[in-house]
Amino acid sequence: MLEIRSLVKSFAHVPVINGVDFVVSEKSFTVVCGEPGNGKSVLARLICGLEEPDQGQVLLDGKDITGVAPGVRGIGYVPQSFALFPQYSVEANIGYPLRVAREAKAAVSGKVGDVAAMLGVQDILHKRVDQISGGEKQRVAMARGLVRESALYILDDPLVGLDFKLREQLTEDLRLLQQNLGATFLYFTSEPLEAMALADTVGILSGGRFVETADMPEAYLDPQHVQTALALGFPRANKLTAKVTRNGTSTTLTTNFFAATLHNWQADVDNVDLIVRPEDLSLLPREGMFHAAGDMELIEDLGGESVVYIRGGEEAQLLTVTTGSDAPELQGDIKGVWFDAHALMAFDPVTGQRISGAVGGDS
Amino acid sequence: MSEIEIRKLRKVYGSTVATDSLDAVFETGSVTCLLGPSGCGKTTLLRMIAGLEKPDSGSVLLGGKDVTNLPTGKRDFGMVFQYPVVYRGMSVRENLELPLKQARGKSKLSVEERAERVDQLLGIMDLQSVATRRVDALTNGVRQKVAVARAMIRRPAVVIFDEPVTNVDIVSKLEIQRDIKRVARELGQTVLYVTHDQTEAMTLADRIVLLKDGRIVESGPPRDVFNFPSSTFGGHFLGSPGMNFYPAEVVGSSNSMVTVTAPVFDRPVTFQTTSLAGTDNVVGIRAERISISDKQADNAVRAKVVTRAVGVGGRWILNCMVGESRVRIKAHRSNLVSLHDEVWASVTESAACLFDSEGRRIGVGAAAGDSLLMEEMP
Repeated sequence: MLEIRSLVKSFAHVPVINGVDFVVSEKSFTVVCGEPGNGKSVLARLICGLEEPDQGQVLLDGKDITGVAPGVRGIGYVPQSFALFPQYSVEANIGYPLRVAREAKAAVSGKVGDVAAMLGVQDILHKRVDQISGGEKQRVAMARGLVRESALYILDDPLVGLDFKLREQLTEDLRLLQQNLGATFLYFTSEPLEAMALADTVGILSGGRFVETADMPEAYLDPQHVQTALALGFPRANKLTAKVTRNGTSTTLTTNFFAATLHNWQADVDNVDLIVRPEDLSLLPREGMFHAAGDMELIEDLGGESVVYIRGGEEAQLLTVTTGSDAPELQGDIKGVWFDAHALMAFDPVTGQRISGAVGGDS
Repeated sequence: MSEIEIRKLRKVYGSTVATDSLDAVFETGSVTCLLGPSGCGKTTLLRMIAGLEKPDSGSVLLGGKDVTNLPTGKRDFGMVFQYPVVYRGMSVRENLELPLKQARGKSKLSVEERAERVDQLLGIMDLQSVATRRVDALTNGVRQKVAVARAMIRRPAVVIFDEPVTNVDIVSKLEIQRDIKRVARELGQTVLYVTHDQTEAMTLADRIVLLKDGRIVESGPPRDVFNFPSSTFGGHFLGSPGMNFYPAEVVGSSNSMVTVTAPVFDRPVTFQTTSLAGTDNVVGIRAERISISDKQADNAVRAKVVTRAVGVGGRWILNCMVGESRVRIKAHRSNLVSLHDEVWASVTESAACLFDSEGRRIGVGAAAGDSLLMEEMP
């Protein structure tokens, strides 16, 4: 339904959006994930028409809307920072876009009531915005962005800066909201847990372009670009650099932590980046795994699971391991980590692309 | 000696009761996290303890002495806030030395003593390598480490932190958390730490104090509070996702036992209780304490997967329907589950909690042949 073609945007000759091609399918919850400074907000504003591209087109349902004014594009927009009118009521704030579009009074009040109920702010409609809490403001801002009926909504990091628990709650609400509205949501965030909880499809924005677009959970389970592997997953995945040496039919990967001999290695490269997810590292020996010595730095006990930080290898690199809730009891016995060769994912250090014929094999 | 006690602390702003009748003891050498959502009163409580805010009633005791009316400067407190308070034009060493130079009277130190103190803290906090660097040449994370060291260098009896790692990178965050624990132990300081992040509280605290609407609703070691929260709010706030809650119907009771039915149990389950169950009881079960299988197990119920996402540590976070009830389940990634699958879900009964109509915990599930749980209950 939304298609972006070869979009380019520079500020003061610095390219921010660097040739973006992207398709958002109808009624999907699509998440654009990228670290701060990778052009997420600019891309959101380009789609809404709040910025003009240097090159490229934005198409909505096959129609070129690149030159169309933002108010008449028919795209709902929830910006990152909520610019509400503090002295007006919640009701007046939510209804504002409808009044600007000169909709009939009765229709405005009905629509405001509906969207307020969906976001759980129906009981504070008559309060002034400066008298409600931060979490309520965020919901009101979302309601204002969603009040105008639209087939496509752009949400630019709407939960940033909120309390942890509130984010969790609103993430769940948003997912249900999108299903109930039957609309397409295009959501921008830098938070991996948010992206993973919300996305049907995820696009990884890095250096002003998409390095990968894939469905969830496949993007997490089988990433094709190193930035995808790093952007998705919490805690963040471990990245090791490895030197590749060939010896007849076998290949040896040498990292700071281990040297692994592989028999089914196909790629013709001298160096690789290896990604290993925290849950694929083990604190206890298991058959077929190879050991790397290290010292335990800290255990984060999350209740249901634990995150263990271990420093080891020649360059005293920090490794992150997640495990069941048994880590605190292990504390005194942690003697480094065990790697599972089958869980290592290799990427080209120059292009970032996944090297197929994955790692695996003997250690 | 540096134990803090608060008694009946109350603070009202206009018509809003910020904190109401708070009682607590914070032990010497321990780290207590004050946790809760925005507006729960945690920052107000911290500011009253520090003397930055005057309570309407109640008192603050430091080492048994009433300090309620003592100005902040005379309370022997160190403080660290969200943004590092350091002198940017000075070196790290100079920054640490300055508070010692300003000391007068009994706490005045000789040049050698000052150097020794600074070296000790630089050592504990791994800052030797940047000791001579100017603070403005450091990253925000390292600056915050310097701010932490500065707050602790005079060895104040109490060190107070108000969300100190909000603006720092992950590596510095870990280091700061580790340092706070280490220094508090080695120097016997009492640490109070305000956060809204339950993960941080679980990791850092010897004790969590959870506030809601100006009242303390949980107080205890992180694990105890997580496993057996005293309130439904504690069950909801700690853990990600929070506890599952279901209405429980009492079908039988004896001395210290009550048997209830709930939508996620395939049969009535017995709880050991500390008080009589009234009406409108609630069963609470952690998402981590429900396991799934594609094979039918004893006491398992049929659950249909309605949403599926990858969560912390690559675990599945599943939303399932059991009849008309929604169940959140955390499952290991090795479970191959797809949307709309039907799976068998079974609850670890000894990990289930029973709450009364006010949301207070009154019991813990009794596993067959297991009567130890009663003694372990906090």
